[in-house]
Amino acid sequence: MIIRKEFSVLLLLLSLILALLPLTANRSFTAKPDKLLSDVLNEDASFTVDQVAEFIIREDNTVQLIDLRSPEEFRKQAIPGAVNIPYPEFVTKDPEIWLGNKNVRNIFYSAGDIESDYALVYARGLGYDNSYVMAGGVTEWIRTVMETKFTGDRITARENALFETRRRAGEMFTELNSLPDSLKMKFLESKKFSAKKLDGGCE
Amino acid sequence: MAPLSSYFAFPEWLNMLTAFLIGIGFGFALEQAGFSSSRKLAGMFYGYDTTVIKVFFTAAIVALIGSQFLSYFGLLNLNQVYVNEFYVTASIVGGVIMGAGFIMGGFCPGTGLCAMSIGKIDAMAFVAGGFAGAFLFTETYPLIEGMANARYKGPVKINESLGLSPGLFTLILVAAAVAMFWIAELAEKKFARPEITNDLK
Amino acid sequence: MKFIKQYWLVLPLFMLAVILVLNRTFSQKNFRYDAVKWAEPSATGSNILTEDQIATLSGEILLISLGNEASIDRQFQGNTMNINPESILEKTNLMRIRKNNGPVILYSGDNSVSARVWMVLSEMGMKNIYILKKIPA
Repeated sequence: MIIRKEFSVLLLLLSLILALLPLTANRSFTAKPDKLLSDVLNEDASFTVDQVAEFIIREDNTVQLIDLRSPEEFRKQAIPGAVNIPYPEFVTKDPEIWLGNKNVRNIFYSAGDIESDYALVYARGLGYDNSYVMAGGVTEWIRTVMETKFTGDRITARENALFETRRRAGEMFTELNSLPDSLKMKFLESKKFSAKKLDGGCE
Repeated sequence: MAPLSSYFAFPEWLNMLTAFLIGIGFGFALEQAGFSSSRKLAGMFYGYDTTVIKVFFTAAIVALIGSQFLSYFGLLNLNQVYVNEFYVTASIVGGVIMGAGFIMGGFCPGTGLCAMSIGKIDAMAFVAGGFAGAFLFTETYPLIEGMANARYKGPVKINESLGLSPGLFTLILVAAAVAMFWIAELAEKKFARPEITNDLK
Repeated sequence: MKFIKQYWLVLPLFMLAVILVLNRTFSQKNFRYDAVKWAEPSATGSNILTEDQIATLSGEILLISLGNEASIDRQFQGNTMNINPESILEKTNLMRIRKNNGPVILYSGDNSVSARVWMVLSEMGMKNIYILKKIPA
């Protein structure tokens, strides 16, 4: 009999603690601060636009590009293969639905740098170590890949390969973004994530 | 292990093994507590034995407190925990049917399987009846589809619809449960039937 | 007294839970509860400053320049510190940031570094931290 009373009192006391806590369904960072900081400041966390261009022309399916800009900006200019998750939405929903697949590398990009860097730290902090950024964002993409020009009269084989990659990625970018709006939307919509529905039940 | 799998990648066989072990544990606990006796289950209805309500409510509040603490310490992602969807009409109709079946058959689905495993013939008939019911439900589903899906509210949580914080709701529920246990024990004294557990010895 | 005697097993468990919860809530070394809440200024953009906006801030301003290459051209009135971004989580640096009674402004030659450091500090529960946005030349 006494054990029942003790157990009831314990449960009551524990729920008293819970009543004082600001509980939500939101998650918290699970990484250790020191490790997270050194991971995200490491160069390995960034890809250059040239590396991303290479992924695109190879149609590498181990890579998922995530565009953190607003839907309007995304509609105007999208990098082929990217999906759009506006940054404010990204940090208020559980990113499990977008980043849950551990077999792909998620590469964030935004207009410039800042949002993609937030997203990198946020994702890695929640334990998605398969997250990276494209350094420089769309600004850098346009400056490097789209406006690349061959100057001088001699070109080494390596330079030539790089130039070729940029040219082809640039062509794919232009092709996608010059599609009529309705067609383009259809194409982009088809790539959208459908939120994973949980399944379960009892008894 | 859905809620944990967002932190660690588990192979499929380990998921299955965990489910198997949890199932064994659940069945063992039910049998151990005497839940494979329909007298014990029916006792809830007549008030002479309220173990059922105490066990299930204790399980619910312990799980509630535990999951909230685990979530607070970052060990459990509550977004990955399944929330039952609420169909108002279906819940009422289904609840009445289940309650009637419960008191007539003397088992609930889980304890029915438990009692069947220890060789009770009435439990075998009960489980067969359950399968027949499931078959009938599936076959007549087009006829009752409208009622089954009526007044769908989605996966709502009680504390959200009451506008309470999750922790405060837990406190209220635990207090209510403890009060209920106390009343239940009073009822047990009032409707006592001393000889009913003889067959368990 | 009778209560304590009767529930001698319950009280230690309760105290243990209280200590764990307090440690989780106020720990200086770990990330705080609720990632969404601490990331919110980044979603609204309220953590980003331009040089003109510094004058509108009130309180004791601490300007942290991350790395050696970052220097502020314009005369700045207030405390400044130069910290290598990798060592910002060292005890003395963290103490200095937490103790500062007013806004803390992060500045770096590379917006990327400020943004990453900002998110780490904010998720550790530090409020009133801003990024001074570098306008590319």
